[in-house]
Amino acid sequence: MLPTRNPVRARQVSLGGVMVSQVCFGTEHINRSVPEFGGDILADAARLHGINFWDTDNAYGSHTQVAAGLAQFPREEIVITSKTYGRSRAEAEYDLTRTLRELDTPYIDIFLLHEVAAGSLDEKMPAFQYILEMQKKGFIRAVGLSTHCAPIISAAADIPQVQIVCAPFNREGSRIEEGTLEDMERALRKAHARGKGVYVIKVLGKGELTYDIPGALRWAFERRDFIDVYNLGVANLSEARENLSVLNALYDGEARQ
Amino acid sequence: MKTIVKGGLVITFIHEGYHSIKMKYADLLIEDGRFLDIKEEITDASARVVDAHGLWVLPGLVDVASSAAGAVLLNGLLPDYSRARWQGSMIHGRALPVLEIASDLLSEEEKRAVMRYALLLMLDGGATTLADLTPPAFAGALRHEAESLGIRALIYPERTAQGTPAAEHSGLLRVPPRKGGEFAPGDALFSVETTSPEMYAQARRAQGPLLVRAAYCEYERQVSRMAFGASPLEKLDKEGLLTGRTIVAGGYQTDFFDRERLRTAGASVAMSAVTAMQDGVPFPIVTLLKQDVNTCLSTGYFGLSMLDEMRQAAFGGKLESSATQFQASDAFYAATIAGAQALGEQIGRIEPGYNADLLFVDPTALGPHNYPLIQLVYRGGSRDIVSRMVGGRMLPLERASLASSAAAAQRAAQRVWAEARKTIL
Repeated sequence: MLPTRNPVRARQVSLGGVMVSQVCFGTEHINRSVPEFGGDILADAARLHGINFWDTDNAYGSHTQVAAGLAQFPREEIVITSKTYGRSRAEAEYDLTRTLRELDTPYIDIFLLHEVAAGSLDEKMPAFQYILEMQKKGFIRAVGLSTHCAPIISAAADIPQVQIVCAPFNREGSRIEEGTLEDMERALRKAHARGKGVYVIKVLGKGELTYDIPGALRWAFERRDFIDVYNLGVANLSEARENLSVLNALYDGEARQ
Repeated sequence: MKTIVKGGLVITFIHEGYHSIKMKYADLLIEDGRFLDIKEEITDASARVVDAHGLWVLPGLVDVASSAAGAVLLNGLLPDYSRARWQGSMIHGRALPVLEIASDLLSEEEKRAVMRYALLLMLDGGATTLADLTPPAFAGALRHEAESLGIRALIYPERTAQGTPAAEHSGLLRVPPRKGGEFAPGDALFSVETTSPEMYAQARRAQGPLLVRAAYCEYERQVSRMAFGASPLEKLDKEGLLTGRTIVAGGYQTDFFDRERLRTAGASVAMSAVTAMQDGVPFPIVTLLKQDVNTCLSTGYFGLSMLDEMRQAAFGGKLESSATQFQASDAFYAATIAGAQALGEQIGRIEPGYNADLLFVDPTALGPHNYPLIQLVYRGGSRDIVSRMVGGRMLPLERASLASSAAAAQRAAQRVWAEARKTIL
């Protein structure tokens, strides 16, 4: 018999000052559904499991599903991250404008420089300056960057205006393009110590670690002293439930001790 | 003339950092055969309106290496089991000889009947662009019918030298030296074992895509090793013909080094999943993709439906590897983006500047809507495609015209088969 009440709910945490669910719904894989079906998945993630933090980007093709989910709630109940690959002000403006239009929202909660490549942080500063200006105007609540490079996380930790950093982090060290797993951990710890919100992606190595999902998740969850949020790409609610159950079991086990 | 396609669910790959699927209820503005704009609401009083409410709007499929004449004339006559058991060659034992008879025997009018029927079947199966490996004697007929129907046809007459290897059903290989033959820019090479040194030299000087059948069966691999001391792809590489403009029709029989040659050359592979499944040869699409080879889909001698190719590719990819590594969306990618990349054409995507080639799918028979590509690839058929557009022009496809065309093609095929039964069939 199917459970009529589902107790698996995400904890709420602060990510750079923004209250979000500890598990973030990475929306990259729900782009294959019709917008209303994908929107319902996201909406149920929030209603049934408290996952009110959704990560998207136009490059994922999932804006339409996110918009359909977002439309089902008072705006302030959902937290959305989107991003820009832009380097110039104009490119960042194009992406932000389109994001707001496609998500049909007056503001975006978190807006990041997307996947900043090795050695390219300086050339993306014009885009970052634009993002900061839009934050002052109220179109963005929090700003930061995502990258696969440990040195860039470390450099971002030194930039006062950066509130949030996002990087791949898994026990194999896969998907890290510059630096080792140890370098990445040091960089994330540094960022967290400087008050940045830290959220990690590719905890399952973009599918490489699915042979041992609980083990891979536990490895990452055990490092929550410097990780605030786990952005897990899932295609449906059952995968989200599975991830959340592993995390909650870890907490519940510690609470019993 | 402007056209607005209104209110459909637009389903396309986008290219912004990722090759992602995007689905959006949107209007499309089309002018001069190309997409001009895509957004939620487009109004233009001067534009013709195509109502797509309730329909899925997808890019037309790209058939990268069809064999239109052969697929009609050889339909049902090719072995329904693996050739490996008798070491024979479908191509040398049946396809080439039958097509040679057809080339000599059929009038231009009969050739047009064959090609018209083939093109109607291809439209029926979702293709809006085809790059065809055409027996040279059929090239004029194909061009005439493609222009008449409005389908985008890139025609590559495939050339062979004298001294084509003959099939020995006993298992012995007889490989005479190849000589003569001609190759002009825009032609295709049939295969390495049917190409002469003179043709290789001419092919090296040509520009544009170079289509060639290669790595298509074990027999060909053995012939190539015997004649050249190299695999077919190694031979092409040594001849300087494995480059970024090369499209290998086949790719079923490769080893690691063959695939590395393809990857480093930037060449593309066009595979027919239907051919592989019916002919009982490997379908290593995931292996090729994992080695970073641009791999697209095409029809072959066994059929003319790209919808069928997508379905069989999705099945075949799963048989080859784990279920998570080849999905419906990957088959759709191989039938659109990968093919466009191979041909270097602005097709296969719904994006401003691209050719306005569209399929309009009525999802009524595909179940309640959730994941359109899964529903279309695994369950869809030509009945679900209610309209087609090529270069901004709607192409009607009526069952009556398909039936009358089938009858004309049947008459032509029967004449060919009557002759072929004397020596081949």
